[in-house]
Amino acid sequence: MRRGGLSQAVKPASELLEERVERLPTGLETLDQLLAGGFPKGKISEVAGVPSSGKTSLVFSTLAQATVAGENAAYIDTFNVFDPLSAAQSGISLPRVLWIRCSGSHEKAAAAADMIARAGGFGILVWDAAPPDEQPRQTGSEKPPSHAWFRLKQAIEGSQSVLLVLSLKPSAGSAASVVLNMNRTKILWNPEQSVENRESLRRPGLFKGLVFEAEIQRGKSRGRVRVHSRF
Amino acid sequence: MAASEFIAVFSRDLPSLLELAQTLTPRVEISPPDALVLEVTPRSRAGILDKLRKFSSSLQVGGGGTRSVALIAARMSPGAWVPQGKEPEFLAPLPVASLKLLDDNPQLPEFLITFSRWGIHSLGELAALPEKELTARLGQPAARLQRLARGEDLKPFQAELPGHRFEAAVDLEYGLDSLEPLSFILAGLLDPLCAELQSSNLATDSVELELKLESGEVSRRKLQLAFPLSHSKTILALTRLELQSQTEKARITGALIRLNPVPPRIWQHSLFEPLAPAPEKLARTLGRLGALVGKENVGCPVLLDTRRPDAFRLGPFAPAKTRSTASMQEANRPVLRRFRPPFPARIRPEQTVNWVGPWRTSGEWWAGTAWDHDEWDVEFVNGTIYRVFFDQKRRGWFLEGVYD
Repeated sequence: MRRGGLSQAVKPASELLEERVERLPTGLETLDQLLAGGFPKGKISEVAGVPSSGKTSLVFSTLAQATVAGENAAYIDTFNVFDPLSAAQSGISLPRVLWIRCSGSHEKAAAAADMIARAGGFGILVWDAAPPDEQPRQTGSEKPPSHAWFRLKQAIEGSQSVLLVLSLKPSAGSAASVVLNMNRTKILWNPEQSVENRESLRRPGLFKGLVFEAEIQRGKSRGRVRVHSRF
Repeated sequence: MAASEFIAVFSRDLPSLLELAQTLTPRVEISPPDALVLEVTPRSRAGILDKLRKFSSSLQVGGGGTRSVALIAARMSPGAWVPQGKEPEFLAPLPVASLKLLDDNPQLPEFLITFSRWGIHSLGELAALPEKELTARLGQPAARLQRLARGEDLKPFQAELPGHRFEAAVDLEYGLDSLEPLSFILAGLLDPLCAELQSSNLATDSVELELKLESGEVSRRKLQLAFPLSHSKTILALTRLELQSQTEKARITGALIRLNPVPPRIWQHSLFEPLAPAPEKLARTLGRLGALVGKENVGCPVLLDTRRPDAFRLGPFAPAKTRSTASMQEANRPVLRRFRPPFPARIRPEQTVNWVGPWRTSGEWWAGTAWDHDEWDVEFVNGTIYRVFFDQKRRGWFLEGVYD
C-alpha cells in the first residue's frame, strides 16, 4: 500500500501491535532480518518444502537458538523422523527437548500440540507434520485435520511460545502468521565444486551441504533469501 | 529445667535396638559403628534403663552427664553411672587408648604414640597437661583430645529421625467397578499423606497402588514420577491416568497407597532465564501425553555411547539448567530425517545423479545389536539426497534417511 504525506508519519494501529510481538531468531542472519527478528511468539509459523529443501535444518537452527538461550522445546514428531544425533550436532541442547512420537497419527500430534501449547512453559513447539518422503507411507489421515489449526492458534495466542509447523506443502491456511516456502537450489558436493547442472557431472564428490532458498509467502514482509547449510 | 543426661548402649543388633530406643525417647543418636546414645531426663532415666535391660541382657550400658563419658562408661565399665561433675574423677584412671571410642581422627594412633613417649598413659594425665603448650606442640587435634579426656562433648547432639512410612489403606463395604468413585476414595487417602509429606519437607518420586479385588487377588501398580511431587491433586491426576490405561477385571474392595519419601526438588527460577513450566502442570501434561501416545513415546532423547546408527533412549523429561556449548558455526548444517525402520530399496543407476561412499561401519558383534553397513550419500534425479546403506548381514539395500 503506498502512503504519502501525513500518512507516512502515522502508522496504522495494526503495525504498532505487530511491532510489539517478540520474536525467536532462527540463527540465520539474513533470514532473521527478513523476518524482522525471527519467528513471532504467540503465533503459528509454517515451514514447508519438499525433502532436501532445508526446512528441517532451518527448524533445527531455530531450536538450537532457543535451547541455548535456556528455553524448553517440544518436538511433536508425527512420523518418528527426529534424529537425536543430528539435533545434538546442530547445537540443540537435548536435555531441554521433550520428544513426542505420534506413530503416524496427525490427530494424536494435533492433540499433543494443543496440550503442550495450553500447558505453557515451552519457548518453542515444533510440530513435524511432514511425512518421511513425498510418497508417504501413512497409518492415518494424509494431512493434519483442518479444525486443528484454529484450535492451535487459539491455544498459542498470547503465550510466549513459538509454534513451528514442518510440512511438505503449506496447510495451516490463515491460521499461520508466517509461511516460509523452502526450495533447494544447489547441492554442494566438495569444497571446490558445486554441482548445478545434474546432467553434466556424474562422478563422485564429497557431500558438503545444501544451498536452499527461503521465500516468505506470508509474513510482515515478503522476500527470499539464500541460505547455506554445510557440514 | 532438669539438665539432660545421656545413656550409651553398645549392641551387635543396632537396627533392632534403634527401633526400641525410638519408642523410649525421640532423642536418639547413632554413634558408629555399634552404639546409640539416648538423651534422657533424670526422671525418665530409671524406666529407660529398665526397659533396655529387659530388651537384652548382653547390652553394654553406661551413662552420665555428657555423651563422651556415657560412651566410655558403657564400654569400659558397663553398668556404671557417672554423676554430673564427677566426669574427670571417673575418667582419670582410664587408659589414653579409650579415646578411640570417641574420636575417629586418623591421626589418633600417632598421638597415642607421642603421648606414650611423653609418659602420658591415662586420661587423667592427659587432662592435666597445660592446654596452651599442648596446642602449641601438637595443634588443635591434640587440644580436642584433651577436652574429650576431661569428659567434654565436642559436637551437639544429633537425634536420628524415626523412619516413617507414608502409606494409607482402606477396605470398602462394597466393590467398585468404575474409576470415578475409586478416584474419590484415593483422593481421601492422598490428601493427608501429601499434607504429611509437605509438613516433613518431603516429596514422593513414586506411587505404589495395591487394589484388592473381589476375586481375592491383589492388583499391584507402581507409577514412577518424572520428578518428586507433593501436590495431592497432581498425584491423583497421574494415578487416574495410570488406572485408565489398564482397567481391572473384578470389582475393587480395598485400596492401599504408598508414597516413597524423597527430598523435594528445588525449582529456583532465575530472573535472567526463561520461565520453566510449573512442576505440577508439567507432570500432568506428561501424564496426559503418555496416555495419548504411550508412555514409551514421550521423553527426552539421550544419545547412547556407541557408534551404532540411531542409538538413543528416551529418558525422563526434567527441564535442566545446562546450556549448550555449540557455537554459531555448528548451527545450520544438513540434518537427517530418519526412516524408522529403514525402507528397503531397489536402486537403479539411472535414478541416481551423484553419490559418495562407501563408508564401512560395523560393531557390537559380541551383542545382539551387531550391525555391518556400507553407507552412501546419494543424490537422486528428483533432487533429493538420501543416506543409503547396504546391510551386509541381510544382504540388501536400505534408505536410512533423507537429508533436509
